[in-house]
Amino acid sequence: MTAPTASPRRPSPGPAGALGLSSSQAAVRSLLVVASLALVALTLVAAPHGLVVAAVVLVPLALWTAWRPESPWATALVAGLVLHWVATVPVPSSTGAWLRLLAAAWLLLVVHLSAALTASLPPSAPLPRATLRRWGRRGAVVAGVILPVWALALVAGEQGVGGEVGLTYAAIAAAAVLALAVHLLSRDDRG
Amino acid sequence: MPVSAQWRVTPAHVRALGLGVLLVSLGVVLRRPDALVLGAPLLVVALWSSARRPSTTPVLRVRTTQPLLREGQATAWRATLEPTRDVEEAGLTLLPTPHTAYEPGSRSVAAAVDPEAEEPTVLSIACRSTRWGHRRLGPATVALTSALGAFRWEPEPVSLPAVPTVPLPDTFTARVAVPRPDGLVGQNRSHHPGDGGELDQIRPFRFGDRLRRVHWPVSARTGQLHVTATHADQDSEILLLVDAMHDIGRSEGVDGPGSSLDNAVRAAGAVAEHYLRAGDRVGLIVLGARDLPPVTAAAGPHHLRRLLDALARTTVADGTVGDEKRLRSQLRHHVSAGTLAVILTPAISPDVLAHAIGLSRRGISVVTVDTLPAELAMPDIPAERLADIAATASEHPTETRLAWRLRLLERSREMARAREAGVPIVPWAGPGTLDLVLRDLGRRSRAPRVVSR
Repeated sequence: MTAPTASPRRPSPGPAGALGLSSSQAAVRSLLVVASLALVALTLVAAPHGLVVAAVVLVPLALWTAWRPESPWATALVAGLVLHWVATVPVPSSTGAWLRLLAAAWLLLVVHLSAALTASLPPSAPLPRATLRRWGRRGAVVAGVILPVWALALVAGEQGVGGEVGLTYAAIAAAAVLALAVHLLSRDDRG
Repeated sequence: MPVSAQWRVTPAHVRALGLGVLLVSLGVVLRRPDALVLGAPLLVVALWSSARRPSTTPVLRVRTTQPLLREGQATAWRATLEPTRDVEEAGLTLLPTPHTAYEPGSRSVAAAVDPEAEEPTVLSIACRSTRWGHRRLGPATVALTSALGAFRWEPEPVSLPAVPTVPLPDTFTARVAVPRPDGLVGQNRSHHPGDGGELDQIRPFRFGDRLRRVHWPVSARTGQLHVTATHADQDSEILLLVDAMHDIGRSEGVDGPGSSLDNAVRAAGAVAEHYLRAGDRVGLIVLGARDLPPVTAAAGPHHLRRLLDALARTTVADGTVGDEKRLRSQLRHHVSAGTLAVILTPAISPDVLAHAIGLSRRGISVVTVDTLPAELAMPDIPAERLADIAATASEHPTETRLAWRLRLLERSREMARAREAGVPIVPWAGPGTLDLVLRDLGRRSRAPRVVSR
């Protein structure tokens, strides 16, 4: 018998012991909640007639999603946040409104990425620093990538570019092709 | 052990893809630039994840690093992921196993996999077995995810074969030899003369005596050849009978208080180790244990391993009729003359004490070791320890205490009867536990007596 005699410590409750979360997992989940609350608040500020009922629903949903980020409620939260914005905030017409839209897009990205990250690894395991760095870096890249889209929408909106039926059809066709391509790329390997 | 599974799309990827495409499409169709901007990050994440879609199957091997443990020793539950470009995060979680301490205590670890690395990624959780028995560590959940958590590779919960944890024998020594050694070789002094190390007498030389045995000082003084006569050294057979019909008390592993079965198993291991080192033959019968055949008496260090493994497989009887029948058939085992039977029992089952009396009447040397934890052998047992005796103690504490006092009275009466019948009963106390009774047995074995065969 050559088993090692090293005796590891007995199990001890971690920093987020009561919830069974590691401290880094708790921090990322807190970020999810904070980003959700910030987006709800931003929507209420940006909307001329804020829908408080939606906020009342979205806040507990954000807390539940932080507790169970792998559940379908995470999708419901992101969809609810988007719906809340689109339904209550008018199309931006001033620079301030466009900036608020950009902030909302970034907050939505934070909500999605923090839910995806916390669902990827065991809740009670500390998140490796390399993972946090990698996800942070990629989040920043995505946040930077949407800047041209936002700028394009801003320029088009402020210059009041008139619509053209042909271009609209082309854009619809492009969106459909894009959806099909993404669907084909993401197909599950069953069988 | 290699593990297999398939890559699956995660809800996060479905979310990013579905909402991203929907919002961008709505933005285009309904001329809502805000929907377009809100959907853009989700769509970019979905496209990025799809571009980094896993194309190969990861090679993951799981194992425990030690095939056999002693109480208090640790092994590692280890998952090794061969280098791959498709995996970015890996997580491992073990389900709890009784009498096992983990490091980290959360039983979960995570690792960031470097796609460029050429070394395998290792996820490891240290598992320290704190009690004898077969520890089935896990099952474990292993999950690997691709870029941005879009695809997940998660096999069914992985179970590895149980790791046997052999008891850590208590410290035990016996200075007194066994009463009646009857084997061929060994270290115990027998009652008859022969080649050995212990002096018997110095007597006049007889034909056949070896010249190297001549005792020259006495021969020179008396003018007649004298030789040194010795006792023959012989081995003896020790039969360990472990009573597994009951397990009284709370077992908190090697670092805490032990139950009666803990005491019995560890004491049996200690006695076996001591006598096997002395060159004796040791056998084992676990009374009441299921699927555990008797271990025939043998000698040698390998036999110690066999005995400890058998002790590790000991399970307490569940009190059914089948267990009673099994006990009765086990008590009909053959015991050869000259055997020293060591019975380790909490003396709760009257059948075992009756068996000890029966063996003693047949002329077998019997020693009974009382393994009931000392704090439970008191009549005024503390309230917090009542649950160690009966599962329903919290509902009926007064009745439980009364019933236990009655049982202790019966137990002391049965033990007194056994003592009167010549069966010594000693509580387990580590080194020297058996010395006094072995000395008495040795003295008694030299006296003439009537036995029933």
